[in-house]
Amino acid sequence: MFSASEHLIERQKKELRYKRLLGLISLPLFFPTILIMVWLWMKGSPALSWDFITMDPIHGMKAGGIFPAIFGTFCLVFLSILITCPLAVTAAIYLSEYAPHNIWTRIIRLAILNLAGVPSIVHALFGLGAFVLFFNMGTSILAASCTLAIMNLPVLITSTLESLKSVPQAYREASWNVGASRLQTIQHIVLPNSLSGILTGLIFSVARSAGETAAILFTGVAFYLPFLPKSVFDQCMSLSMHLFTISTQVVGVPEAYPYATALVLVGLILGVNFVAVGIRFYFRTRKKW
Amino acid sequence: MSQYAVDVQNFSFWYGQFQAIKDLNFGINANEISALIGPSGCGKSTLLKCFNRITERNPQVSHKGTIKVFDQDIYDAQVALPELRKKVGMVFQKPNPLPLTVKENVLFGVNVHEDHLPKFEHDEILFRALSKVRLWEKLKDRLDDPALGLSLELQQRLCIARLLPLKPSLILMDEPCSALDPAGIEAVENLLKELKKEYTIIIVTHSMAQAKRVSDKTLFMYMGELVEMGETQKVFNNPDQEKTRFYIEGRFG
Repeated sequence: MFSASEHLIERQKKELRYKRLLGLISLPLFFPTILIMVWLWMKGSPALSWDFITMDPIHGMKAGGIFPAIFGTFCLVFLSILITCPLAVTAAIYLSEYAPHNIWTRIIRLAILNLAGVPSIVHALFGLGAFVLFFNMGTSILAASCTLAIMNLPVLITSTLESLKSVPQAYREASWNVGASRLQTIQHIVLPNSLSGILTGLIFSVARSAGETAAILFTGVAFYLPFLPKSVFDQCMSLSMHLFTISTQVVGVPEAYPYATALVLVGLILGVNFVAVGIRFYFRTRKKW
Repeated sequence: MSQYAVDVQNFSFWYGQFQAIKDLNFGINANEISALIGPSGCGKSTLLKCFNRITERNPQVSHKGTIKVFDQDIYDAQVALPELRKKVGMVFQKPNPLPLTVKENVLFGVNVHEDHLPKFEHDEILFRALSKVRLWEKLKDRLDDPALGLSLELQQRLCIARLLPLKPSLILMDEPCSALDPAGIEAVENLLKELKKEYTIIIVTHSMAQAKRVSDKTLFMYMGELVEMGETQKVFNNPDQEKTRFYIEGRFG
């Protein structure tokens, strides 16, 4: 009575076919990641050494290490996050928790979306005009970080908005109903429960900033500097720019050098991601729901 | 001085153009449980939400007339909403503990209203609130567990406990038992009977059996109007109005 009919068997077969097909299509997705990593490792590992990471480049960047570039990338990313994070989080909190739904906040949201769509080279031009020239910062770490910060702003606002929205409205209402103010509700209920989401957005920003080349091209990064930057008003080197330079602009660089540089860049980003995953995991276990 | 704990005079309420409540006049005694019954859409939940003004989260509402809670006009311009909500607590249909621990849930209200409450008072408050809702024995070893991991009945009792440290003068309940199983309903109902010794309680319920079991007074509402109000026994056994009788007998609703 409950045995499968002809029709059902046909349906089950179809189900299985589609399941396999979808699986087959999604399987290759992880190949590019693996391939890139393996390729980089095979090509770059011969040049990779402690000296490569800690030494300055010498002989017109044909030998030596990449330490100034690592240091520069670190400065740029750190400073830009320092600028973006408070701006983005406060803006997102305002939009999500306070802002009324009217024409003005719609315009603000639209502006954020549009900003996210601006190509990075246009950000670079804006940075050159606004920070380097108008605000008279010169080509400096500060100007480049500001440009990166503006570029990351919409991404971080959007991801923060999403994670604030993921906190159920019922929790906010429960908090208001015992007489808590909006600020108290944000402080005790909304933020603690959206922190892991906000951090995820931050990680994306870090990864994006670390790999960005165009936006910092003419706002604060030099091809080669014989010394480390002493303040935020100095120029610096960066990994992405260094990679571009030694791959295309300098003749006679050992073949492994660009790959090793890329390996260090990817490694740094992966490292940051792992730290962030750790932090997220910590917050997840503290989550009460 | 009004003789009533809650005194409603000529009160009407609108959502935009729609009049949800039509010119109500009644009083509710202190230390009694009053049940609001009536078919869906009769305005009983709206009326309940007017008592602590959470209706105002909807931007297009207006009202006329007065509601006095212990002689204070709650629609007075002087009234600060956080204070009103502290004194007029609400329990919802769906238990809504905050995503915090049991302990933090009970202390949330007081911590929101008072800065730097000394630590030793925390334990005292916690013990008293949880004992009152008969949760202390059950939860004393689980105070740091997440509140959302509790059963629905315990969650609902915790939501009641959360109001108590604020020393409310009035507790509103919007179908507090509809998400609970029969054992949970019985436990919460027994709790209500005990709480009324100290608090005034208004409960909205769809269950006539529940209104009959727990309430002292019953108010029957229909289409935004108060059709009948009286002693619960009287309203259920010998209602004055035909409409009330029809509703109670289950002929409509």
